[in-house]
Amino acid sequence: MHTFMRQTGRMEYKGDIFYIGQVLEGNVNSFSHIVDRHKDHVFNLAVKICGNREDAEEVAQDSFLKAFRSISGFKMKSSFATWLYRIVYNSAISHIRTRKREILSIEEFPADASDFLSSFTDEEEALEQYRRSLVGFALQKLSEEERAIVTLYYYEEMNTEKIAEVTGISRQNVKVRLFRARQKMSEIIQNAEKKNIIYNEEN
Amino acid sequence: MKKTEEREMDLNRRFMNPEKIEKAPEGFTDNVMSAVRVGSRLVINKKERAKGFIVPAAVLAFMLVLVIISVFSGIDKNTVSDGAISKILQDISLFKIKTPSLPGLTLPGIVVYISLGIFVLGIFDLFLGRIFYRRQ
Repeated sequence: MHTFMRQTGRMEYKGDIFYIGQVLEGNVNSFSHIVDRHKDHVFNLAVKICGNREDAEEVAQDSFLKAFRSISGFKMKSSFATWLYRIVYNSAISHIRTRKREILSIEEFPADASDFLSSFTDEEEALEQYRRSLVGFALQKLSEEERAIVTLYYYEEMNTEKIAEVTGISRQNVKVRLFRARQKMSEIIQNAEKKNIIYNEEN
Repeated sequence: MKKTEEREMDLNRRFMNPEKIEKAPEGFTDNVMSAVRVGSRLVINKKERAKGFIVPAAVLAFMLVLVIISVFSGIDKNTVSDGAISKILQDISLFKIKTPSLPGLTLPGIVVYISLGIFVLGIFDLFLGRIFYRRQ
């Protein structure tokens, strides 16, 4: 029934609290509305922390399962999204630490602007793609906590207070880490661009 | 320097914003819901099993009380009237078990019958329980 509704068109979302109430009354299928609503944001946060889609999918699924199991423990002190992101953040961090595997294997930014220019017909589009990859690369060079903070700040547009709620790090510490993360990203981007300029001048 | 920083910030904002989030793969919701349904079924089964054990536990407790009563009070022969059942009860009460570890202590024969009854009912309960859970 629910799959049918999802296939035929999007229903009006009645709010997290409504569906949580339904789940607590024993309507398990109502949880799919919550999953549908938050899946992209949850997956994005997991991808940015884990660094790859396979691990992120596992973490995202696991996070939703944890949320379902402990939904009666949601006390509405924060928004449901904040509560859910906290689960995702903890799951992703512990996933990385327990696996102890080097997820980020790229040591250097692999491409230069000329590679992008050759693969795109439109120069503007090529540059845009190059910059996007560069920002993505810089983000992946940060520590997992910094990646989470930057993701929540930029992608989720959360303020430092909300980020502190999700990560369990003090607000002041979030500010410091965010500042350092931005600096690191800026340095990485500048270094890659400098290399690229030198490379282009030499050729 | 400030201009460079501003430019980097601008780059961050341009490429990291809510519109640029990575979308969950196809079928993600269905996969999660399958796992959720399996999980919730397990929880329900656990609850039902816990409920299912209340009845046998109560029956066992009742039987144990009977055993204790029979051990400590036995059967008063004066209250037993004539008849087939009362004769059997008299016979049972005459049959005494001598405990080898505690010399001098004897148990009424009814204990053996009650223990046997508990055992048979326990097996029967397990058998019924298996049929019931399989049907579910």
